[in-house]
Amino acid sequence: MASMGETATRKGLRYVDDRFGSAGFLRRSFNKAFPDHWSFLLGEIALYSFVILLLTGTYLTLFFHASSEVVTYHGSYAPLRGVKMTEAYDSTLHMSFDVRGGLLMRQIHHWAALLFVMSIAVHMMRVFFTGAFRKPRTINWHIGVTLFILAVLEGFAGYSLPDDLLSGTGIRIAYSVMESIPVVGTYLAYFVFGSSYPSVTGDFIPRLFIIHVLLVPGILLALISAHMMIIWHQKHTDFPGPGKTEQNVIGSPFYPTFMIKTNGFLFMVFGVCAFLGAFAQINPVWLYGPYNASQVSAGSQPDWYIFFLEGSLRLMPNLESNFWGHTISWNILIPGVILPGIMFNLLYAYPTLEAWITKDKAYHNLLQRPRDVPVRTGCGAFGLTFYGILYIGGQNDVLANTFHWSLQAVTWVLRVLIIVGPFIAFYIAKRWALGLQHKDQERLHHGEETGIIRRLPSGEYIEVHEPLPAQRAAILAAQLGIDPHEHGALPSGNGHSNGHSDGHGNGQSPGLIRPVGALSRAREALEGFFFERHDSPSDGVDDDEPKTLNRP
Amino acid sequence: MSDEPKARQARKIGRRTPVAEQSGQTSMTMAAAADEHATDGHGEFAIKHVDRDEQPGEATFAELQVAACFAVAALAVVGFIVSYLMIDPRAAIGRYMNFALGGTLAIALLGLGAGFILWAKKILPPDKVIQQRHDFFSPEEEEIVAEDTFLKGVADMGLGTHKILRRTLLGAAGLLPLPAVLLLRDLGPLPRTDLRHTAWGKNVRLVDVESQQPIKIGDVEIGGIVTVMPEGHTDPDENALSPTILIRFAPGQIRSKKELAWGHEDHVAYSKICSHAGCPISLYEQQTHHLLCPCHQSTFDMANDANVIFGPAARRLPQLKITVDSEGYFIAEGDYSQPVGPSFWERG
Repeated sequence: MASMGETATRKGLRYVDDRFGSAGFLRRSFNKAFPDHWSFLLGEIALYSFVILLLTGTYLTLFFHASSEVVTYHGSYAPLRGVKMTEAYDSTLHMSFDVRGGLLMRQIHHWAALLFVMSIAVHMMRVFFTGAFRKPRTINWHIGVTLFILAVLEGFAGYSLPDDLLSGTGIRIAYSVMESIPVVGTYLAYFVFGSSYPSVTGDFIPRLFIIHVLLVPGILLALISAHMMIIWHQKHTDFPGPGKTEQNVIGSPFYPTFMIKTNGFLFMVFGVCAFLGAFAQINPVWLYGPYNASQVSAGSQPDWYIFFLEGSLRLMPNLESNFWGHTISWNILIPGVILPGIMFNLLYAYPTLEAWITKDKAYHNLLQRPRDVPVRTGCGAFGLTFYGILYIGGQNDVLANTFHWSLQAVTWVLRVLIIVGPFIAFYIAKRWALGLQHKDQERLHHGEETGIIRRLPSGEYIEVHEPLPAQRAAILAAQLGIDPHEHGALPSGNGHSNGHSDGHGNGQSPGLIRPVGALSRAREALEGFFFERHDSPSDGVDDDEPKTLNRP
Repeated sequence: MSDEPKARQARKIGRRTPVAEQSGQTSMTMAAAADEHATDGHGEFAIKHVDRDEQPGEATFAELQVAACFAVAALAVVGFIVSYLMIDPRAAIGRYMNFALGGTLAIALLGLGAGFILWAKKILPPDKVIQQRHDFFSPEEEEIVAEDTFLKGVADMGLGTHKILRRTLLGAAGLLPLPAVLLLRDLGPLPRTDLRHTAWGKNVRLVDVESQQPIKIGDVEIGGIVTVMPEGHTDPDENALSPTILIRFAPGQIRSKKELAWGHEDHVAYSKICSHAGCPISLYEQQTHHLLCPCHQSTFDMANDANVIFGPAARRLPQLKITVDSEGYFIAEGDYSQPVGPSFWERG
């Protein structure tokens, strides 16, 4: 006999199903498989930090006054009593010192914001280096890049709101960057800021506020929903493993296992942010003082995700052009506008570029390891190194100060590194990936080393290798793009063997017909570069002696 | 693999290949049993039973672990409430009250989170679901019908044939954004010549920002530096381009003739607003006479007419011509002779 609870639940579900026909959807959703891998949690961290940001942010709006009206401070924080400041700064002090838990919420909000952008960045690296952006997930990659850019803007808008000395300095730089745009720069800056900055009209802080609490979060919310729904629809990718194919996905059922687990993870992320908010001070605006257009403190540093822009502004040589009564300030325009534009556009374009170069039109649900696609891994290392040097450049004064180096020397070293570093990183990453592939091939050919040395009748000593278990060997072979039944075969291009050759569909094998246009020749050259291996894989088998012996 | 996907004809448009045909990983397929009706909806899922490697009594222990986590969380919430009510907020809000509230909240959340995760890992069945994926594209007939429907709609609308309709529509649609653009016009004033002027002018006294007093000869020590504003406009936030620094050199230190001529008795005044990104420059090295911008490290040689010696700034800092009035106070001889602060398109 069904219990009361069960009957009630059934009734409830029937009620919904009668109206929406939801039973089929629920059945499929409950059973939906969610694969397990630690790196799949990175996106979840981003999602949950966003939830935390919405919760704590809503709380903060209950106390924040988005106004640049000048008032005199009379709150609990003694050192600033009697000081004139904007209402924005005054209300930030109020919520920090006179609202119980206000400081905690502010600090959790700020930590969660840092975590939000950071987890998006690391999640993007995971997606990039494992090839999860490939068809059919290209559009979701584009949404993801947009989310990253918006998250950076949202963070900048957020920490600029309190109108303290540090944030005001940041906005003044942003204002100068806007002003540097040719032709429309000054107009753009005047319209956005409501006049020059700091705004005499007082319109700027309310504008920034609505951008920070409504406009950008609204877009973020919509795009995050789209991002999740596309993941839900397309199903998650997974690494190759026992029983895993391109046609299936194996994992915990959404209900109840994944739901319980992911809720636990939400609380963990929230808990860590609460811990940081409690014990790790962040953005103590009361120490900086209110914004004053004639002051700036040494060692002014933005939040981490702005470092790369700060660094590009710092490392840029001092170029400026004057002609026909006009000025182009390359020293700001290039590092502040053009460079980030190029960087983000490359991020958008990469999946399409790679598919175009490799002629890869196949669906991909199984992930690759970074070593499986050495050129992509090299490109990733190139980009990360470029970004990383800009990031370090944003702290050149702190570095020089801490290590007693010359500021000029640090800057010049970084200026050189920004040019050569990425190429070195590309080369190292690519060779590293190829080396790892090489090692995998050896394991596939000869098996695992056992550490047992045997002496042959001829007197020669060899190490006994144990063949890999069949399943492991099959997975490894698939990852290396080798037909599992012919271990000696040449890998035909980094795991693309099948999708690649089948993907043409026009029946012509590449190479037979010489590409005509300059574009197709360029593509062909790039494809050659993409699949270039430097040495034939058989080089690793430098010894013809049978090394593979069974364990005695 | 079943031959169901192979029954599909070659596609006319696009070059997509069904996953099933191009994978070649049949040897890895374990859940062959589930493949029978892979696409009919009901064969989509198969459950793979996983046995939990469990010692006797471990299940009870696991439940205790989870319960302990939840209990700690509940206690921490009580702790939060007690801290909120008991600690005097005025005295301690920025200090241990934050530790107490945040610490208890963190313990509550982490306890709850740990409990949930242990619950999922140790108590819920470790079974895995094997779910079949589908090709994302629709059956070709359906694609063709959708495309045809769309194209028929285009034909029905007749934009290709009804030329007047098309042109007037384009005209109306093109004009419609204009009101929106116009409505944005009052976001701010036009820059006009704002960026070319500061609040400085002829005979305006130099006022110390700190003391709000006009400055006389002798007020600044040799090697000293003071931030000054024009008298009557001493609020930097309302006159963001006006902040100026007054430096006093020892006799003979100034190497630029123009600098010496525009100053007064080894006192010189320069714009404080960096010619790079507009930060107020504030780090002055007395020995080398270098002025360093803390934002991007542009360095200016103040003994040589604020020449840029390092960093991203492209221009010298503009100098303000100064002299003294009859009472001995420093005054400006006029506004800056060139725009102050970062460059912009109309600067020239």
